[in-house]
Amino acid sequence: MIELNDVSKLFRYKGNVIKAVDKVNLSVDRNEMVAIMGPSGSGKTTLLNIIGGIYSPTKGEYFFNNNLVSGSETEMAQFRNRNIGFILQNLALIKRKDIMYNISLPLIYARMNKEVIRKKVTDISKYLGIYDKLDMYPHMLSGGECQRAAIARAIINNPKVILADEPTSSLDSDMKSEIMSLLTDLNKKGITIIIATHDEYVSNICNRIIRINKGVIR
Amino acid sequence: MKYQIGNIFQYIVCICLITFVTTFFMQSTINYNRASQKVINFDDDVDSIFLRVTDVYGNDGQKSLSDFFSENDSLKRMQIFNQTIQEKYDFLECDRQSLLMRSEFPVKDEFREDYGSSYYSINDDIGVMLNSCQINSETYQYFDLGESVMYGDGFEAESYIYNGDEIIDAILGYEYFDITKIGEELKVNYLSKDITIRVVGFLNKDTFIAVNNDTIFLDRYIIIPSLKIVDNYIIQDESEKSFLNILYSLKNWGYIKIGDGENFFDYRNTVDEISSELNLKYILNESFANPYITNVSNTLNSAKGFILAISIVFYIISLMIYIYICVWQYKKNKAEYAIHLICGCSLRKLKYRVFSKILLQFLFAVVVASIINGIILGIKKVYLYENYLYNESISQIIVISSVIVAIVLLLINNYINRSSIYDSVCKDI
Repeated sequence: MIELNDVSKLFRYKGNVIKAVDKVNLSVDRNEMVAIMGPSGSGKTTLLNIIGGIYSPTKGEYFFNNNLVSGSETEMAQFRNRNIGFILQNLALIKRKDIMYNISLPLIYARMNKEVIRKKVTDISKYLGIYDKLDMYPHMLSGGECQRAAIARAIINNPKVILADEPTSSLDSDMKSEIMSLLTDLNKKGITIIIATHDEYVSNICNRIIRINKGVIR
Repeated sequence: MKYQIGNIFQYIVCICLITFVTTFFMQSTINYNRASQKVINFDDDVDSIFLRVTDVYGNDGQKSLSDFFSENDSLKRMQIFNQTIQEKYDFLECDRQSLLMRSEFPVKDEFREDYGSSYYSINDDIGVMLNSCQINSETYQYFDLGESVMYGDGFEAESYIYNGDEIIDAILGYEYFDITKIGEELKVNYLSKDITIRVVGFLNKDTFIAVNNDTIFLDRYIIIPSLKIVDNYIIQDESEKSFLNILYSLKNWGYIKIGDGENFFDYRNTVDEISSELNLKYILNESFANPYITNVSNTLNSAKGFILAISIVFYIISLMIYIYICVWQYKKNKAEYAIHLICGCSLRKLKYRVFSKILLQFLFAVVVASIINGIILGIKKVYLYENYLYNESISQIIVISSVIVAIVLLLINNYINRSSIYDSVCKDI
């Protein structure tokens, strides 16, 4: 499903070239649940961003469902919208908008009509147990509720892949297991999940662990 | 909610800032571009000048003269204007509408209005247009024409009164003396109305009247009174109404005398006020003053460059503050933009959103500043020059704002391209 061939990503920072990802070859099959582990600055997030179509590789090729992932910024935005759901470590909710809006954002960009959006958001929020929080703002919710809202946003447009970047780093152990159980459920429902983490608890739940250090997969 | 209020507050601050500096800048440019003659200083050999009252009917954005005439009380309002302006100033009516003579009359070619022009004799099948001058009693007295009557009588107070009588007194120029005589009546057409002029006197040779630098020797002229309607005069029919409308519209194109060192704007504003009160479109045409102005001496004018410079500096500082706020706003919202991007928004769309907010802020500010300046200047007034200044300042501010917006957008665009939006939601590279 996901195939990276000799993918490198270079960044220019204050005159220096930083090799964030170096000649990575990676293949992830449909329905896998993969953990990418490595210390801070190892290139986990860059790798996720390449898979998510946020960054284009400096070198190498990225195939998604056997199609080469490249194109204009608009095409890449459509690719993200249709195929990828993101869950980020710092919850990443829009503070000045209510949970309803936050969850429905991918559907808004998919240009769905309001009724469909409302129904989908209602269904998913019921499934994740945050239906009564829809008209609240992120600062009114607990960390776990915010993360569930972020998961709701990630899965609302039926993505093929969920990319989670340290999804449990800001949660206590109870919430951590709850979120991981949610992700496991989603994986059982056919969604491929790739999690960047350095938490052994999280990686142990995944089917496969990929270790990355200094941009190189070991 | 507090985040929303915070953002709205920032937008309000930005809009107020741009509106304020734009208004100030527009005022400064208007002031800078305003005709420098607030107080008129004449050349040493000029004591006074005459500024002509004109109307702006038919100009851009103004109704036509015929539309104005079709209004029921147009004549009454023109009468009141004429009367009011006469009471306030030495209002000299001195119009030169030619008289159409259809009957044969042994006039010299030099008496004809078209004499010496390329139009000479073109309309001879209709009749002959004779040079004529219509003056009111103030003009008659100002130029001492009574003293210049060499033979016969001058005009009496009754000569100026129109009461439906078609016989009108006329004083003829010196060169008419050989071909007509006192008491003779001539049939002519004046402003499309058939009238009879009765010769009451002849002027001395080389009698002239001079308004500003326009000197008219009257030797070949027929001088008739600038008629005015008696109170409570009942108009007979539509053609008479039409005649009187035209007559009064011409009468009101008179001259006001302004002395050395007098404040031109006082005169101008007074005419404007009288005109506005009567819902008329008469103005004091300042272009007549331009050739006589030698220098300017008023504080506002001497400070205009300084004020403009201050406004430019102020504008630049405010823009720097504005750009800083924009960048700060962008930084503050970067995490939010990143969320939009991961949810399927393209960077281009995101930029449009950021840019359109900036454009809207400027657009709103320019519109509000224009309205404020319009109110300050009084956009309902009909002064062409003020309108010109106003329009000019709007054009200037649109051009300047466009350039500034382009610069701001380029800077912000450059900043967006250089900054990694995703960094705000991602923890490492």
